[in-house]
Amino acid sequence: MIKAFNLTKKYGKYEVLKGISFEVEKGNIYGLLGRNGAGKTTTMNILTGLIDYDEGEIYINGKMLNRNNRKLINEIGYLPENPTFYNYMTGSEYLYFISKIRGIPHQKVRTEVEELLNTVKLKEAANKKIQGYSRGMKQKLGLAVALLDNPEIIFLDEPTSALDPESRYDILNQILEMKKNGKTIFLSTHILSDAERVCDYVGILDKGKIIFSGRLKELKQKYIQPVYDIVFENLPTNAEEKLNNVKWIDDIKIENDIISIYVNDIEAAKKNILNEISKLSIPVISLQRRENTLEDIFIRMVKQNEHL
Amino acid sequence: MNTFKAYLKKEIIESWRHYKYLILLIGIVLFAILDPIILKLLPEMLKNEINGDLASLIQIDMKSAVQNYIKDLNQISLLIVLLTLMGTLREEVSSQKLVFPYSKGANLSAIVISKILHYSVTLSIFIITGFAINYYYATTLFHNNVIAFNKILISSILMSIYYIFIITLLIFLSSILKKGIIAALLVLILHIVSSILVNIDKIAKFIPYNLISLANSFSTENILTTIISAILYCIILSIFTMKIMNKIEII
Repeated sequence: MIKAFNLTKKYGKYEVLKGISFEVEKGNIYGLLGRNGAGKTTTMNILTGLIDYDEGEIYINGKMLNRNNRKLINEIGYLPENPTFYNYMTGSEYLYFISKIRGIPHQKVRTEVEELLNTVKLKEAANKKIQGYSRGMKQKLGLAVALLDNPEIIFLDEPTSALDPESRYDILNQILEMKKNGKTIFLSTHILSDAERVCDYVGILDKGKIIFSGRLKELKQKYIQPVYDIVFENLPTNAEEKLNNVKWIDDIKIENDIISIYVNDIEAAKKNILNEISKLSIPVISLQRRENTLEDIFIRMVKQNEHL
Repeated sequence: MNTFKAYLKKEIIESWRHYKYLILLIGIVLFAILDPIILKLLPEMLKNEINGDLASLIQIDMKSAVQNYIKDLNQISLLIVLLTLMGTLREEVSSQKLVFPYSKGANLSAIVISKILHYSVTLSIFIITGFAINYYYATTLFHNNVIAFNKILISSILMSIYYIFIITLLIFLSSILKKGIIAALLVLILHIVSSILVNIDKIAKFIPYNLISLANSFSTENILTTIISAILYCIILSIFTMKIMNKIEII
């Protein structure tokens, strides 16, 4: 459905994308993860034909995309990170305006606009001027614009950033709903819990390079690393120093009274964890083992990339 | 054609809701009413200030009342138009308002044409209306040296063509410059420079500013070259604007 090979983009001498490649299959949700400034929005803008790229190839539905091939745009819906509208229009007027640009037949427009306003839960605010919309409402209207004329592929750039929990919940549910309707979704985000909730595939973009691209499950299996969260009665002062020398411990994080121990050899950890804790001679309130989250994996991979 | 129609409607909604029509109407039509009235009252107003026979000092007739309106159109009204419309294209690009329309297949050339056409028609209507109103007041208040309405109409068309040239130039500069105010200032500078260049006989008829001189003289002689030149410049500037818009990154 979407294929990118060796995509490169430069701004002057600065190379934002350094030959990235990935593939998204039909009906899946692909999440492009990365820190702010990693190149996610640049990738989005290239994939939606808004900006040119310097090298590489992009195929959408088997057809090559470049800025001169605007026909492919018809198969795409795009929600930018900060959607901007003509604020003096109402939500409904704006959808009619975009429908006119798309050339949607007059008799079909009314039904489609009403359906979309229902889908994004904006029906009550449809006749309100956009300048009076909250950030969440603007995001929902942007989503309605992206979905207009039923495109097969939807690109969502940071769809949940800066939203309140309720709007975030709504948007994520709508993304899952779109997947149920057979849409292929490519989203970029730095909110990893959102990606974990909706994505089938993820790509980790760091410093203009994709350092992982594949199934989310595969990523978790490959980089799975158990974590022991230990709550102490009083936080030991020299715990990090003492535990850092242990071979099977990969990393230690201390937050409030909890020490999180990241393990690289689970068998060794099982045998020795209690022994190592007892050496600290501080009363333990609880010890719990959990699997690491996408956030843990992401931070680890980005750290590894920094050392390269 | 879809983009053209959609943007034409959008420009109408925008101009209405942002009071652009009202500002332009006041900026153009107000002087059409005020000029003849002020000129009529001028001798009365100055009577107490200047001694002597004012009627012989200030001789105002219908022709000079209309010429005064043309002078205002050439100065204050032009400034109002430039300040009102200076952000027409640039503001939309810089605030990323074109992202959604473009991502839904909008044709950037059609956006440029719709903007030029909308403001050309709007300003032409206001200018011709202004001249008609000015004619009514001027003929009502002054009875000497009356000019026929058809000549006034030709003058209004010449002024309209000049304004269309100004709008096209403003939109062109707005597509290449990052700030609308700089585009407006540049148009103003070019307007002033051409008012000087028009005094060179050999090139005068090729300079759009000559349209103002022709409108002011109420003459129909040798107007074709200047009209054709101005229209040609408008076409060339429009083509350049479309080419630039199709090359810039709108995000």
